[in-house]
Amino acid sequence: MSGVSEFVSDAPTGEVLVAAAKAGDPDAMRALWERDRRWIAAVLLAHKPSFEDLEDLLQEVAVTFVSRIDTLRDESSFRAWLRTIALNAARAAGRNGKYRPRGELPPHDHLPGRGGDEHRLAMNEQLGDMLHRVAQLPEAYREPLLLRAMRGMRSREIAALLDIPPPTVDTRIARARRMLREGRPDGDESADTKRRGAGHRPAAPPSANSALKRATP
Amino acid sequence: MNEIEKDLLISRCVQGEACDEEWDRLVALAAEEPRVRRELGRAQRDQRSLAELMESAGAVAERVGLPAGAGGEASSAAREGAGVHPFPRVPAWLGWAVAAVILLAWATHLGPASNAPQGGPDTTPTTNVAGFPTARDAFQSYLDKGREEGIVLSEQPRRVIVQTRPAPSGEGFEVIFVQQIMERAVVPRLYHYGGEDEYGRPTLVRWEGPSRERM
Repeated sequence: MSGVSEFVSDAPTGEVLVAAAKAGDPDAMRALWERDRRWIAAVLLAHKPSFEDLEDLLQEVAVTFVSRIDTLRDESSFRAWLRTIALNAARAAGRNGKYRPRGELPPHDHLPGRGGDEHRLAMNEQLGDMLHRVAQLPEAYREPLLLRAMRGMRSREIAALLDIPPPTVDTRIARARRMLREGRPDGDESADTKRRGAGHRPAAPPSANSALKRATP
Repeated sequence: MNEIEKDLLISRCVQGEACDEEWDRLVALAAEEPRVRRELGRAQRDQRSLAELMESAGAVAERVGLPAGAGGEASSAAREGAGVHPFPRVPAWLGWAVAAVILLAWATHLGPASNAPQGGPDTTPTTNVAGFPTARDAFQSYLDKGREEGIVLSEQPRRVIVQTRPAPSGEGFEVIFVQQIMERAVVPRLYHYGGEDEYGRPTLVRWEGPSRERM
């Protein structure tokens, strides 16, 4: 993007835009969707850790957003409302049996990659491994972790979205990171477990990676 | 420092949020407990994978528009093609602001970017840096000159670590990081990212501009 710089607005006028969308303004709807769809993807991935279903679920959320926006009562709760739509979509997909059991992630050929096929495959395997490890985390930890990893999302915004205090967000992310570290294939799991004492449960069972390898061509 | 405090410190460091004082604490901690250095390395690798994962998720999200006729790309493109101004029910400046991303298009004759190489590696100018013994000296000169001209506002103390790995020589570590410079520019025109055309190419729409107070 040579010669072009990017500036991000804090968009303090979101409520007015939500009001316009409620009144049926298609461009306001589009602006809201384009503003929020990235974090919606993070919420969906946190509650249904499957890349295979992500695009379908996003489309489902988009359709519900457009068809139900007029039922939103409080403009200031727009993001919470949108998150609830995403949660419902992810959970319904799980109930409908689309959800693949943990350890049986699909091949990751559809993930965007760079370079040649070998690089792409390696990248897909790496991302698939990370997604698998994230899927082993407690649900309450997954969402703040993935939201934080999404470009542009800060603790304060995540706290507002999840309706929890910012320090709780930070603590959950820090704990999630520890669980990820301890679940790494090269993680010093036994030492860490001993050090932290009884009651600590490693994030990923030893069989997780072997199961992933079975599922990856 | 208890375990959760250490975890929080590592977390802040890998997220690029730690201040100098926190980095100092981490370095001191790593000197006392070698395990901390190992954990930091693992956390950085995880952070890189997480960032890649969420970039991929974001890329998927950006492919998904609203259904046509409800703010979808097709309907908007048709309106724009017909000369209808977007956001007819809200003030124009509001729509631009809430669109969240404002692109600043540089006039070709303005700003340092206009002098940047455009045609590939073989066009890289070398004369501007020939007088400096090292790249670091050239960089420092850029900062000094930029401050003098009002282009460079500050150099951010926070450096975002992207990757660390053992140095190829076998001694020490190679650290890849992003260094952030805050710059300012005065441009004659602003353009807003206006979505994509029918070929999927980004389109820029000129912003007529709100009053100065609203910016």
